[in-house]
Amino acid sequence: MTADDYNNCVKLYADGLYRFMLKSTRQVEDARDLVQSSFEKLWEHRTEVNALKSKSYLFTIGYHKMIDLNRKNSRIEFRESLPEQKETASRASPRLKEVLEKALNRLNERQRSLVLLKDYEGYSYEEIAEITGLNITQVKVTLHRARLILKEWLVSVENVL
Amino acid sequence: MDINRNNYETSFLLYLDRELGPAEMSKVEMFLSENPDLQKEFELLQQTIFLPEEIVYGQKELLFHKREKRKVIPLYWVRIAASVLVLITAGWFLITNIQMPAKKVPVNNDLKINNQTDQTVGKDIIKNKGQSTQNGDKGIAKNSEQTNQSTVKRLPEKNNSIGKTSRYNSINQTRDTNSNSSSVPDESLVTIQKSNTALAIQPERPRIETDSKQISVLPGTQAPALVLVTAGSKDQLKHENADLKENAIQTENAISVVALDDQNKNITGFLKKLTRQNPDDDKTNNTRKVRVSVFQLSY
Repeated sequence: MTADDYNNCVKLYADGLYRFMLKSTRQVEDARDLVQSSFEKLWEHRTEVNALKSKSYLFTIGYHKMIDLNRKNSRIEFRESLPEQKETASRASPRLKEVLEKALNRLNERQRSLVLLKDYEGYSYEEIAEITGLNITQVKVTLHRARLILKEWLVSVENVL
Repeated sequence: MDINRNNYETSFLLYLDRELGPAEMSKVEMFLSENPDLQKEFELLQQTIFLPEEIVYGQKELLFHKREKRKVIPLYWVRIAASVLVLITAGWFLITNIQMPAKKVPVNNDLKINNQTDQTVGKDIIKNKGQSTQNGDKGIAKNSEQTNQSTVKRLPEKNNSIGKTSRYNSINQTRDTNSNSSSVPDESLVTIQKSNTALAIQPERPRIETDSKQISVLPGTQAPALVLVTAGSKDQLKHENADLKENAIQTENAISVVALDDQNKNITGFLKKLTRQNPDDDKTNNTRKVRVSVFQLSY
């Protein structure tokens, strides 16, 4: 990819990558650093990257950097420090959105990342497998477990409410 | 895979994750319609799907790489600057070239006028600085001011009534005052021809004619009765018996001309040099030699 392709990547994917990092790490500074380092690596390897696959390449870099960071910092514990973000997508109930945000924090690192890649970025199981280095079955099983956890959380909250 | 009450959960999740083909999706929808009690569970799983949020990364400027752009922008201006430089150089060269002395012409070579029509053309031959004019046959020309540059063809001294004598068969030839004629090769014959709108002097192919001290006028042409030619400053024109206007004087690259036609009316125009410098001219800086250029006369 050329420098123009790279800059186009920044325009198109920087927001999505940042959202993925922010939802995964729940730390603004960590998310920013991960985005910056991911794009730095993309720039360094731009001549080897096909422009058509630049987004997958970018998220692959970002995902592994995020995993490395979490392992390094042992940030597997539960955190709820996500800043509020502007939401454009409308869901039937703002309350449900809030409940889901909390439910997301109930997921482990891999489950959360896969849900985000699936729902926010719209990747298929196969693409998620390429990005994360898992096989398709692992992706499928992990995602399904995550959905069931989220569903149980929603049921429990509804029962409380 | 058939859907039943034991494996429907996986089918629901694959459906919601858009991992099923159209046929499998239809199966799920059919199963749901046949098992309405599972509709609630399907909706709960549907609610676990996160809708995308718009989150903006506010530091994109840090990510853009402009290094390659910086390389391009200067090259762009350098390219323009180079083009301008080439144009200026070419223009300067062109102007300089036009101003240079014309190709050498033989001193001994005379010019001939074919006086076959009633009207004759005064011809003009440009000389270098300080050179005088001479008559060929009838010898009318007098020397112009030596301080003036390039000369001119003149009227007879006593013939101030321009146009009264409507026919001049004068032959003026510019010569080298040093009479260094032997150094100049034999060369061109010049023909003056008048077209509908312009008087053009066209070079003919060089002939070897030792007698050709004439400028030939083609039969049937209607050339001006008198042609006054000057170059450079208007001071030169003081010696002419013609009413010249300042705006008739052209630049150094052209020579102003005033002519009287047979109705005694002024025709103003300019001579534009068409020939180029002879490369050998540089060697003759200290000598005065006759040089004849071919001009296009327009008015």
